[in-house]
Formats: sequence, C-alpha cells, structure tokens
Amino acid sequence: MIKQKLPIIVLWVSILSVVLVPIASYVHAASTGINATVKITVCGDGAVETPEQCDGSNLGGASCTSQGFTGGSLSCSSACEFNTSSCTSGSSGSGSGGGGGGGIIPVSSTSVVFNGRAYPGSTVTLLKDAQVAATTIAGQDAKFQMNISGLSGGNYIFSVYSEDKRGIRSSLLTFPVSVTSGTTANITGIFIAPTIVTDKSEVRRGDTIAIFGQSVPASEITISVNSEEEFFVKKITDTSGAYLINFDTSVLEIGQHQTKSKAALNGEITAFGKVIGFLVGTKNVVAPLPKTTQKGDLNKDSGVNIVDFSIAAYWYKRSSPPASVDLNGDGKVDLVDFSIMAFYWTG
Amino acid sequence: MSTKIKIILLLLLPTLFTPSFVFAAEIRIDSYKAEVKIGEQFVVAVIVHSEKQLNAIEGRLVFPEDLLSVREIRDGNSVINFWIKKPQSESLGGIVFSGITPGGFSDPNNFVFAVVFEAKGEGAAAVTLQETTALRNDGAGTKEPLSVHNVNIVINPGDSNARKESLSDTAPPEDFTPIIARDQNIFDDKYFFVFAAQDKGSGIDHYEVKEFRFALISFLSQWVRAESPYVLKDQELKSRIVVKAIDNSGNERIATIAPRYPLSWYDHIPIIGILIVMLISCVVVFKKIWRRRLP
Repeated sequence: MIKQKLPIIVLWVSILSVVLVPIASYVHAASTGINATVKITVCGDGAVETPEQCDGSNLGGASCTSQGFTGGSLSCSSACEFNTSSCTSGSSGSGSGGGGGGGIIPVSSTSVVFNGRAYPGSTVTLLKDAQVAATTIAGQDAKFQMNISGLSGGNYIFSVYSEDKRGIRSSLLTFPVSVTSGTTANITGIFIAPTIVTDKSEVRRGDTIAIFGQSVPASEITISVNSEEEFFVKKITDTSGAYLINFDTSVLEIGQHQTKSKAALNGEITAFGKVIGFLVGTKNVVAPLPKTTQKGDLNKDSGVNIVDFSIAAYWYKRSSPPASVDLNGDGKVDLVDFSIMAFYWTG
Repeated sequence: MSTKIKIILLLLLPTLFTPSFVFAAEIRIDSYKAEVKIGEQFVVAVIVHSEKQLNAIEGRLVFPEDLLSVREIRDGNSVINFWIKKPQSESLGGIVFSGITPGGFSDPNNFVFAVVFEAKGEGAAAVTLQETTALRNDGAGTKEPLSVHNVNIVINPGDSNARKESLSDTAPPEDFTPIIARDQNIFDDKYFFVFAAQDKGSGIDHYEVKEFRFALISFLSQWVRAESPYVLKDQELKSRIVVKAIDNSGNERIATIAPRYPLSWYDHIPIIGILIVMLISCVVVFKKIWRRRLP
C-alpha cells in the first residue's frame, strides 16, 4: 500500500518544495533588512490623508460651521491644515453665505515632514541621501518631528537614527521617498528600533546575562536570544523608556550567541535593531559599553561620513592600504570595505 | 512504479534544490526601444531589484562600439548616493560603475544610471552587464546572488533625421556642505576637503573650486576643475573656499566655506601696499597724460 502511494507522496513533496520554499525564502528576505514601516502622505496632491486636515480645495467635507464658527469661508493652508481666518462667529444676519468653496493656497515649496518616535529626550538625526539634513531632540514621550524644505522633485533616501541616554546609537532606519515638486510629503509612523546592550561579553553557562536598552515609554519590547533554538522574552519599558531583563543562560549551549530587540506600541512595531553577540562559556567577562567610534570611522571623529568615504576612495584598489582603511582585513580596499562602511554610516 | 511516474519524479527531484538557485536580486537593462534607426538616439537604464537590502553595487556595461556611441550618461535621481567610480566611458571600452547607498535599499525598480546611445551602424547591438556585484547591507559585505538581464537593440538603416533624446533640467543641484578634514593616511596629513552634491535632474557633471584670501581681488583666482577629496592649496586655512557643483544641463549650485583662521589686520598689509602702489601708479600716469594734453 505504502509502496504504491510512495510515488504520489514524493510527487507532492516535490511540488510543495517548488511552491513553498521560494515563499519561505522570500519571507526570510523580507525580515532580514532593517526596513522602515512608515506612512507617506503628500500635501498638495488634493487627497486628504491622515494626518492632513485638508488638501488644496479638498476640505474633506468640513466647513466653517463644522469647525465651530457660524459662517464664512474655510480654506486649506499650505501645511494641509484648516485656515479659519475667513470664518466668522456670532449671529449676524441671515448669512446665506455664498460662494466660494475653499480657496486653494498654492503650495510653492517642496518639503517633507517627518513624525515618529525615538527615545525620551534623545537626539534624532535625519539623513537626506546619506548626509545630515536635520537634527532634533525628541520629547519626553519620545515623539519627534522634523521638517526639511527647499527640495527638488525626485527620489530621496532618508534615514534616521538616534542615541539613547547612554550614548548608544540605534540602527539606521532607512526609507525611500519619491517627492513631487511643489508638494509636502508627510511621513508618519517612523519608529526607531530599541537600543540594546549586554552587561557581559562572556557569561558562564547557568549565570544570568543582563540585556538592556531604551525605547519608547510603556512600549512592549520583544528580546530575541538566538541560539539553536530562538528564545523570546517580552518586557514593558518604564517611564524613561528603559528595559532590562536578566536572561538565564542555562538554556543556552556553550558557544557564540546573539541577541536583538524590537518594540511595539499601539499597533506600531519596529524592525529588530542592532544585533549584539555574546559568548556562553566558563567564565564571566564584563562587556564595555559600545565605543563611540565604530567600524568605518577611519578618521576617528565618532562618525562615519563622506570624509571616511573619501579616505577609503583614495585607497580604492591601491596597493598596501593602511590596516585602518582595510575594514575586512583582506589586504585591499574594494567594494566590500565600502559596503561595511555604508552599513555603519552616521552621516 | 510506472515508468511515466518515475520519469516525472526524476524531472521534479532536482527542483527540491531550487532555493539555492533562486536569485533574490536582479540587475537589468531597460530600454523603451527594441528597434532604432541609424542616427537615432535612445536611452537604456540600469535598474536593480532586490528583496534583501543592498548597499553596494558595481559592474561594467558593455556595448558594441562599432554600432553604438555614448552621447550622455545620466545619474540624476540615482539610488546610489556616493560613486566610488562614477559611470564613465572607459578607454578600454564599456562603462564601469561602482557605488554605495548608506543604509541600503531594497524593493523593485531602483534606478542606477542611464546612458543615451546613438546608433551608428546597422546590425544587432547587445548591451550587456558584466562583472556585476551586489553586496548586502549586513555589515559584512556579503555577496547577494544576482541575476542579470541584458538587452538587444536592432539597428535598421535609417533616415537622415537623427532624433535626439533631450532632457529638460532647469533646477540647480541641491544644497551641499563641503567638509575640511585631514588624515595621516592620505595626502601626507595635509588638509583636504570633501564634497558631494545631489542633482535629481540630469545629475552632477563636475565640480569647480576657487580659493582666495582677499575678497577684493577674488576675481584674480581661477576656477579649477576638482574632484573630491581635494587637497587645499592654502594649508594655513586662511582662505575662503568656494565650490561650484555643475549638473549635466549646466545648472550651478555654489557652496562656500569661510576661512577657519580669518586674516589678521597685518595680513592685509601686502594687499594694501599693492593697492597703494597701483593707486600711485595710476595717479602718476594720469598726471603725465594730463601734462601732455596741456598746450
């Protein structure tokens, strides 16, 4: 019986492998990069999208009366907010009102507004095409807003990162935006991944390792400890956005392991942030806080930017490059070294 | 087991290993025209598609030089932020390119650059990508398997009216901020400065630099064509530095760096002296001319 059905079973396994494995590999591919889940709305395209109140002549059915006035003409500002300066209040005459319909205020400047969450009181840096375009300080609720204008219409790659209260830098959150000339694009839902640090670089098997970092206050942190089997621990951050877990390493095998974390709040979720490695062995070794200088910082100015790129470009495919420039230590400066630098970029 | 089923199974079994041959990334050449006439211009674009985040790509675009000539290379609006090797026609043939995108990019249809070709001979022109490499944004520069899709253009005998592929770009390059730096690993620890402007239209063509200490006679300093990094002539950093980014349509954007160490009053003595000498010379010449005119 089994012998008779074996060919059919093998046939089905083959078909399923063709269909399912590529799907599985796609799912894996989608989850590896640090992709931003952001919402982009365009102020100036005539469509009212959250958080816009209006857009051009489209008032979304609102009027002066719906805004608490008794009459007048409601219009829309260049920031896609209601302009009630021509609305009137008080009982004056019959006021049949007439005419009008919200005037269109031409949107001349091309700009992008960024709204998101980082860490309470942290400095948030915005990169436009890999160069610093703006910085701001997040509020105590970790929310931030930035606005850049004077752009041309075209495709931009924007990135944001932040530093927590210990000076630990987040991963770079990157999102492409196509900007239309004469409009304002509103980007909402930017949610920077939590920072993460461990208190030990090596931990004796059976002891605990502290995994901690910072995110948005009252957010749910999911900490992944990657071993043969992946362990997940959840923790709610305190009012300063800090989280800490003491992970019992008795469940881990001797050897190298990794941990990473992500945050969730009100249905919004970050990608996993930086990956931290630690060793489960026979002794405890205290881990220093991550250095401010990092890989790719060739001139040791605590940042990875166009200066470092230029130093590496000078040595591109030249013989005997300095060890500090040859990031992967293969004796030459080639595309791989630039890729490593691009990963650690700070602008 | 019947022979038919055995054959089907034998054919399907290799597909169990399909995942190792699945390309997660693709680099391709797009052309709106499959057939052109001699003298006609057409655009081919290099496009990258990837499911995983990439941050570095390189390659060589090869074409038959007896059939096609390069009229223009456009990298405005490119997904690449910094070119290690800006796409340019090489003397050995082809267009070599290499660049990075800090933070990475994914998703379909990422524009890298475009080439405006002019057909100059009859035949089938294969425009191909060779020696292509794409690296993941993973901190280790892991190679991403890349499938390559080339394009074939058929060139037919044409009419005398060559059709141009023109691009209207009146917007100047975007604001940019040059940075002065020095590093013991390059230029013998001399001061240099770096710059990179973006242009969303036709792309940056070149940069020009001017250094001067005295604003009054800045017209005497010449604009010099420059590439980043640029070694400063004034290593005392007392000069004002002006950088001009010029796009492929001739639009300009100027960025200025103020002198790090502004001139002291006594630094102006030589220039004041020269001005006084020039003034005295003018007065003397004027007097001589005036006396000659007197009866």
